[in-house]
Amino acid sequence: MSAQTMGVDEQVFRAHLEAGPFQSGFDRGRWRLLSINWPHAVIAVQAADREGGPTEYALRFECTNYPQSPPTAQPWDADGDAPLPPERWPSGTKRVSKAFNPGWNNGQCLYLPCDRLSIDGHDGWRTQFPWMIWSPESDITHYLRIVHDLLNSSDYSGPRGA
Amino acid sequence: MTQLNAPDQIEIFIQGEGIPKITLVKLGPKDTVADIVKIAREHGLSAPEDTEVCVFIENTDVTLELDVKIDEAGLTPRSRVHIHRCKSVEVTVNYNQDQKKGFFAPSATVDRVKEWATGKDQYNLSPVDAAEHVLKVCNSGDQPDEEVHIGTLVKFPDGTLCFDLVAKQRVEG
Repeated sequence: MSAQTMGVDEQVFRAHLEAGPFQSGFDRGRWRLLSINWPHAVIAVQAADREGGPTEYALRFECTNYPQSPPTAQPWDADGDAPLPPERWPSGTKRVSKAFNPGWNNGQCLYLPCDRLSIDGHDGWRTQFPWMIWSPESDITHYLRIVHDLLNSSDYSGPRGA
Repeated sequence: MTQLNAPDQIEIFIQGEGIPKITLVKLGPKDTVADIVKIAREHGLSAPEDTEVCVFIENTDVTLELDVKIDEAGLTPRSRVHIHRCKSVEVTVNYNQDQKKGFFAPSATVDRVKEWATGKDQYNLSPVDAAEHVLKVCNSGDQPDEEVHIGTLVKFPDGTLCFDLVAKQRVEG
């Protein structure tokens, strides 16, 4: 698709993928782009080594009106091009299972302040977690960093079913 | 991802005074370190043109001579540098009513400072505990990412920086 027929949101998103923050994280092995089929993009985020766990988790982002509106993301089975089954979602005893909760919103999004669907109805998060709030100046690495931190925390214990 | 660079171009990651976001710039191998500074000015470097700046390699206090060519300065594709007027930053880290001070190059990452603060010579946190703590800029809601160079958080001539080492919060509510 040419830049002329591409929407502004997709143009900005693709420009952000080529920019320093995304490329820096890519170089350090924190994340990598798997595919774009606008308004969706699948990005894999590196996870800490855990017994029976994958080296990375894919997230499918829905990025309509990016970056004016925050993206929303759900764990994704990149090979099967389908939502990740709940037993393969990341787990932990504290922060990780709260964020990766397949019971929240039918597994459509992560329970995080940077997520478009989850911030709805959680105005208190804006003062509780200001560093996680999306702004129109943010880029996709804002969301990816939060997820990368969770998947590399000592709370992360591998997939739910492991 | 497809890289569409001319074969002789070198990409360098820069951060610096007035450049809070990691920025990827392109240079030719025969460009000099001074050209990095020139490009950095186009990306928001806040040091006036007539002032002396230092170009540091990430996480070292090694500074590069401005008249040296990129390919002779030891910079390889996607090297990481920092440009700042401060030569060092005095960092204070508060934790549990205690306070530790250390000196770092502006090119030190937040991750490097945290590693120092949680290490055995300072607060001596276990790796498990260290992973559940984060550096928060004092008196602000800012929790800079681990890749951020501390120089981006410092304004010349005040080469001081204060962090609180705090437990990462669980999102609830």
